[in-house]
Parts: sequence; C-alpha cells; structure tokens
Amino acid sequence: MSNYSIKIEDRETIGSLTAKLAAGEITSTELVAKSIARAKELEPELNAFVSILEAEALEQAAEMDRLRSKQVAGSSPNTANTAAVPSISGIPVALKDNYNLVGSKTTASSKILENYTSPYNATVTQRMLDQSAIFIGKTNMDAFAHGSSTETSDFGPSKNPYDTDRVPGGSSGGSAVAVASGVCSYAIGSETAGSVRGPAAWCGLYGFAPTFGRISRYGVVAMGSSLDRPGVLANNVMDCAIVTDVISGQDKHDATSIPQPPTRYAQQLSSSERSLTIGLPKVFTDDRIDAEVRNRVQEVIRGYEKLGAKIVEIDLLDPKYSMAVYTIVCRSEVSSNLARIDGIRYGFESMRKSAEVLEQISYNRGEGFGIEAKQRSMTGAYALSAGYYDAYYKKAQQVRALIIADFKKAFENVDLIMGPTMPTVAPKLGVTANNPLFGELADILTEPSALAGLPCMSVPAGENSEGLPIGFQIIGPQLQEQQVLNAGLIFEQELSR
Amino acid sequence: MSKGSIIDDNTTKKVAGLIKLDIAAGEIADYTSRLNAVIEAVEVLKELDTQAVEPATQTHGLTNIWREDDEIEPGLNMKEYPNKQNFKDGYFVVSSVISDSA
Repeated sequence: MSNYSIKIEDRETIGSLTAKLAAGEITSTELVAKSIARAKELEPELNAFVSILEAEALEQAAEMDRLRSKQVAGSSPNTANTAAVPSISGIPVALKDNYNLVGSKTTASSKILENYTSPYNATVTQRMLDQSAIFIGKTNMDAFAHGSSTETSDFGPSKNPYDTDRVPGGSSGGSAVAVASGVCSYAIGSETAGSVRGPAAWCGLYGFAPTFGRISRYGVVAMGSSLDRPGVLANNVMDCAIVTDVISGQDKHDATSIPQPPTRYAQQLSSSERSLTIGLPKVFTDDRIDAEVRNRVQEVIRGYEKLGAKIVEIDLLDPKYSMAVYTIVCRSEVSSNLARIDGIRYGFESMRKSAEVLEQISYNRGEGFGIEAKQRSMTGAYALSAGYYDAYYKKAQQVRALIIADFKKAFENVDLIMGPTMPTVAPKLGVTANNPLFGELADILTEPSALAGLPCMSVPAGENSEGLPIGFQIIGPQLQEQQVLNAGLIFEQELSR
Repeated sequence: MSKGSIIDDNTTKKVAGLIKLDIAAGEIADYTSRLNAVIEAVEVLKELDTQAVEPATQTHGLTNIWREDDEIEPGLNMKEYPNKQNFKDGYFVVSSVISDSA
C-alpha cells in the first residue's frame, strides 16, 4: 500500500490560503508553482489530470500578484482577501475535464473529444474566473462521466492516493485525487448520481452537490440533463459553501436553473442548531452495506444524538428501485445527449471515409466512443425506442415520481436524512471489467437523492481498519442546502476526531 | 444469446443503427450480453404498481421559463472556431446528402 494522501487536517483550505495571501506570506505565483510542481510529481503515480495549464495559470497568478501589491501599496484595508468570508481569488483549483474553459482542451476523458478545444466558458468556470480563481488543470474522469471509478476514462484510471492499487471513485475521480494528494485545496466536480459524493467518500473529502438547478449546467459536457449538477470537492465545509456561493444562481443559458440569486451560505454557516431530527433510512444500513462502513456511520449518527439531535429510523423505498430508474433515465438521456457528437462539427473523425454523411457519422462514432459510452447509449436508445418506451422509460419516470414523493413524505417528519455515501470503501483497480453496471451499483445509495434532485454532501467519517476512507452523507429537502452544510459543520467541529 | 434473453443480436444491430454507431460484426455478441445484463437488472421495476402515477420529468417543478426579450450575444465566436477546418461562412462542409441517382 503506497500512500500519497496528506492528512486532511494538514491540507490547505481556501481560508488558510486566503489568510496567507493577505498576510503576504505567500504569493499566488508561488501557490500556483507549488501546486503544479506537486501535480507533475504525482502524475505518473496518480494520473489525476488530463491536462495541466501551467503557462496560463502562472500568467494569471502573476497578474493577481501585481493587483494585490497595488492594493497593498494603496493601503486599502478591505480587499477581498481580508473580508469575513475568504475568497477563491488567486487560489489554484482543479477543474473536471467536462467543463468548458476557453483555451483548454475539454475531452471529458474521451478519445472522441481528445482534440476538442473549448470555444466558450461554462457558466461555472466563467463565474469562477470573474472571482479570479486560477485553474491549474483539467482532471481525469470516467469518460463522459459514465462510471464511478475513473476506470472508463479513455486515458487510463486515476489512482486512489490512500492506496494506489485502488480506484478513487468517480466520475469526478481526478478532482478528488488532486485535493486528497494536496495538489490544490479544492476542486470542481459534477454529479449525475454520486459522482461528487462517491469520490469524496473514497478519498476522504467533503463533497457537496446542491439542489438540481441551483448551479447552471451550461457548458458542462452533458450526461443526464435531468440529473447533472455541478459540485465541489474540498477539505472543509466552509470551502464547499464559499465555492457554491460563487457558482450558484440562475443562468439565462440554462432554462432548468432555479430563478434565484446566488446563494450566501458561507456567511450564514453555523453549527449552533443541534436539536435536529435526523432520519436514518433502514434500507441504507442493512447487510448489503459493508459492516465497517455501517458501524462507522452509526457511530457518527450517535455522535449527533449526543449533541442534541433526535434520530428517527425511516422507511424509504429500497434503493434497488432507484438503481433501476437511474439506469434507464440516465442512459436514455445519455443516448440523446451523445447524439450531438458526430465528428462533423467537432470530435474524432474516422480515417474510413464514406460519401454518405450518416454512414460517415457512424464510422466516426463507432471508432471514437469507448465501450461504456456505446453500451450506455445503446441501452438508452433501446429504452426510448418504439415498442419499449412504455415498459422502460415511462415506467422509470413513474417510479421516479414515487421516489420524489417518498422523500417529500420523509421530510415531513425529519430535517435531514443521513446514511453511508457508498456501500463499501474504495475497491481495487480492475473492479469494473466485465461489469456493465458497476457505476450504477456503486452509486446505489446516492441514486435516490440524485433522482429527486436533493442537496447533499458526503462527509469524511474517518478510515476503516485498512486505512481507507469512509464517507457518510447528509441529504436535505429541496433548496435547504444551508441545513445540509450546517449539519456538516457540526460533524467537522465536533465529531470528526 | 443466453436462454431467456430479451435482446438478441439483431436488436443490438438495430439499436446501434438507430443511434448511428458502427459496431464491428465481431463485437455485436458482447454488446448483446451487456444490454441483456442491464435490461435484466431493471426488470425489478415491474414489482411496483405505477398505474395511477404521473411520470416525473423533472424535480424542481419549474414551468414556463422565459428569458428576458433582449439581444443575446452568440456564445460561440464562429470566426475563431477551433475545432474543425471544414467550416465556411457559418456552415460545416459535408459531402452532398442528395445523390445524383435519386
């Protein structure tokens, strides 16, 4: 077992770096240089990045340092970095490779988009650039986010920094590795089922995904459009809040974004409300879940109880139904979303040539897509096709309605729902081979809340007897992100060690 | 194709054709077995009675989202479009779709 992880309490946060920048202890240029040096040093072992944006990041950092020294010279006491809430300004961050960022390749870890250069910025990246975030690289992921391991990446899997024989989880695996190995203090991921929470759990991080629609999907390579949501991987709850405040809010480019202004969770973050009613779904802690994971999560929940929370066992629909619904709904949306990649307007073009455009497109797609993208698209097309639509797609959407109603009912009696994030700790590399459902099975505990679009966070609940991280998740009602974050903060301050 | 499978090789080929995926003949059987594994796994939904349930197409209940009726700058600057050479006067150049013999 090799160990490239840094203890979470020794890792930098946006808060700690903001303080150092403000005190003049370090410059953005030094931060970026350090970050990139560590990324490069670890890359042969961990494969966390698809591309490293060294020149661009250093240039941006130098500009930030010039601005900062001007501000200091002008003795303006209240620059962004001395305000009550720390700022992402001038701090290095890793970006999942499915976010468009002008001038960078956006491959979504797929061969078919290997040479795709972003012609525009995603809303998330634009909002972060507006706050002077410095993107140091694009992180590896399951190709098109189709998986929970990074093993479906067309550029090889990332490795878990706690044990490089194991997967980091996915699909935002590279982002999780970058943070857990100390390359940067936080990273941007995205979640369709559990693609933020899962890798956060397996790499010992906080992973936060707010309500579907809270953050714009514009410019994020689409997977399942009724499910996709950007999220944050970080070393503490405050950083999840800070970054969400920057990237949330309605966006005219995404009609499913919720018509509300950007959030202000960081300012309102508080651990003082402890008399919570916490629902513990029986189906999240039965014997399908690894015993060590189960025990640790129950220990944490008893911790909340000691601090004043009331724990209520609740009945939720068995997550096996969510897995089936997610498989159909997501793959159907995948089949529709990947249809745009034809190799004509962008993407891989086969050397095999046809005079027929449609035949040319099928050559491009047949050679360009990996096995996972093909099998997911085909399953989705099957579920949507005439004669099968009612039996599969419509049925899945009906059960999705039951799942949404199930959560609504549960939240009539509880403030939050808690349980393990993943049914096991990180498995060994190779686990996905010949398992066409690995992604969906690994995400079985994150799929129910994803299908209902609920805000949720995975919290690092320590390690098992082999030293592998265990995550537990906090799920809130729609738009109640603040409650989820506040409950996470209680854990961080009182229960994390 | 195993006994009791729902999807056979012809269905696999048909589905691949629907979504314009050229699959090599030697790979069809593998995809058939993958698709069958997935379809078998979702059969569990038949256990639930959904006769009176309206399908959910979204989660947050928003309807009729209109944007302000103002001018929006195009997101893409097609003059500097970086991804294909076959781009001319705002169009992608492809081979003719209407054949001479038609």
